[in-house]
Amino acid sequence: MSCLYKLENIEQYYDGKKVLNIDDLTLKDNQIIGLFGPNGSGKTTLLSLLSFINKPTSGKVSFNGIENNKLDLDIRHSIVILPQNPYLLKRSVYDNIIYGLKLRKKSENLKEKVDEALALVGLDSTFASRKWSALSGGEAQRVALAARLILKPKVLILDEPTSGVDTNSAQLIKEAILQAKQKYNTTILISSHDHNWLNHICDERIALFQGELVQSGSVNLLFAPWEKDDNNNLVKRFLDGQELIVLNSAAKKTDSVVMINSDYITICKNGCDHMINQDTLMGKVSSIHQESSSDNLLIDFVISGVNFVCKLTRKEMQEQSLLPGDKININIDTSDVCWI
Amino acid sequence: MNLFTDGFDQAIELLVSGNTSVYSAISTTITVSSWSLMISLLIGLPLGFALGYYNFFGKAVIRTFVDTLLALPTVVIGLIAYTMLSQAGPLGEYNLLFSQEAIILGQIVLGLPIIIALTAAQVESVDKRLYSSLKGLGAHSFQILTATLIEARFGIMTAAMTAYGRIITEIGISMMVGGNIKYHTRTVTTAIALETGKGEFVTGIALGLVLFAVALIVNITLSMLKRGWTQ
Repeated sequence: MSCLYKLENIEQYYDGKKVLNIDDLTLKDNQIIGLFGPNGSGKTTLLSLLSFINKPTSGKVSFNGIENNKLDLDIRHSIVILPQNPYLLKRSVYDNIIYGLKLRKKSENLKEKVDEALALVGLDSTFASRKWSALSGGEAQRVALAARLILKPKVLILDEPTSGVDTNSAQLIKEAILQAKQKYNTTILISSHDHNWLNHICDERIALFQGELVQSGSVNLLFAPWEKDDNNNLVKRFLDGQELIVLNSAAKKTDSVVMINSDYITICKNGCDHMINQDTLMGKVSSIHQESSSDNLLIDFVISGVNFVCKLTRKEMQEQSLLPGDKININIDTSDVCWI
Repeated sequence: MNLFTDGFDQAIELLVSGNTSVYSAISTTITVSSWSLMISLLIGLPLGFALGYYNFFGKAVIRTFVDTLLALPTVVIGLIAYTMLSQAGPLGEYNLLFSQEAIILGQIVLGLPIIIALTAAQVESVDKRLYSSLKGLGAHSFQILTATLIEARFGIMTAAMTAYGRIITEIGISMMVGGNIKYHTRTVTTAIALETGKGEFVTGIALGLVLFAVALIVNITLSMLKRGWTQ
């Protein structure tokens, strides 16, 4: 895998307000890369820079070693983005799907290509003759995705592709994305709030918060409100009354956000006497899946409605024999957390 | 009421009999107004797109100026065009005064602000997601322009119909720079003014009905086209 994107000293301002600040970021090709973070964290801005729709206020974005202002049309055409809530032209589905090909002056075997693209997103060829106005929200999203897949792009950028669509459409979109990676060796960048899905399919995960690159990998963000304990440390009080005290946090404000690496979380289901102490929390496993970049397993669990993720090796997993729904003991080491 | 029914009867009679002066006026009207509209569209659509699409210094001033031009009386446009085209004017050397070309020039000044202002309003109202979707597919500036205008086609067609309606019914420009010369620059509206001045009210009404019929045919054609696009 070679370096596809390199971002250096990127700053992006909107109306004088800094919305993105990335000192250094490298993305490799032929991967599925997930972006996550709360609304307003800069995901869409970063994707618009990576798709070269917008230029950064300052800094350099390179693609395959070529700076953004030196990219030729062929390279720009090899990168396509599906924006959040994409717009369908007021034309037939067929005309919508071939629009990108027409821009690239490719007019051979259009019918076959349209049928193939429709099949990728789970729509049959009869959809081609439908008007834009005769589609449901999920169908429109899939047609918009088909209009990108037909271009067989080198890079496909997807900004929350499953938001606002029904479960069936979301599943078909997810399958189409994986097929694109498999069939066309497309590098895929996805932003989504669906952490489970990102954990499941992504080779790399990038966390953004308030325009800053927080960390790659599996991390947990714990938001305000916080309370103060007798030692003036911040305390997260969960709805069921459990508390998480963040050590060495006396100087922090009560609207801070803390980032906890999944490596700092220990969970246990059976034979946990060795780890239980007064700070041990109780939670429930919600899902288990394999980390794409290693043999480790990612365990999603919930403490009184708040989602967390941690890692276990396959051996640890077998020892614990965890299943979704199992109650677990949780220790979170807060002595070395990152504050945002 | 007799005036109207007589006028209607005479309109049919004039058309059926192939009255050369009437057909000449109709032909001149359609010719000059069609050219005016086409040229106004060619110039006005890109300018309207730019005004509606881009944000630039002085945009609000230009917008106000264009909107003000919408209310300009045709006789004032005719007067300005006359001074420009007369021998003493800057375009006097081209000898365009009292020609169909002079009427076309004046009518372009009439139609252009309508096309620019209404196109700009249509482009501004186009869904903002269109730009990011087109850019995301790799469209460059000209392709974005054409796609945006096609997306706004229903509104732009309304702009064209509005401009055509204003152009085909104007009299001030045709009278002042056309000169109402029979078989040359006489349009239906200047012919109506002439016939009414002579006391030939019935002929005036007949010509008015002919003008109405022409406008109706144009509107029905465009409406059918619009329906075909939406279905």
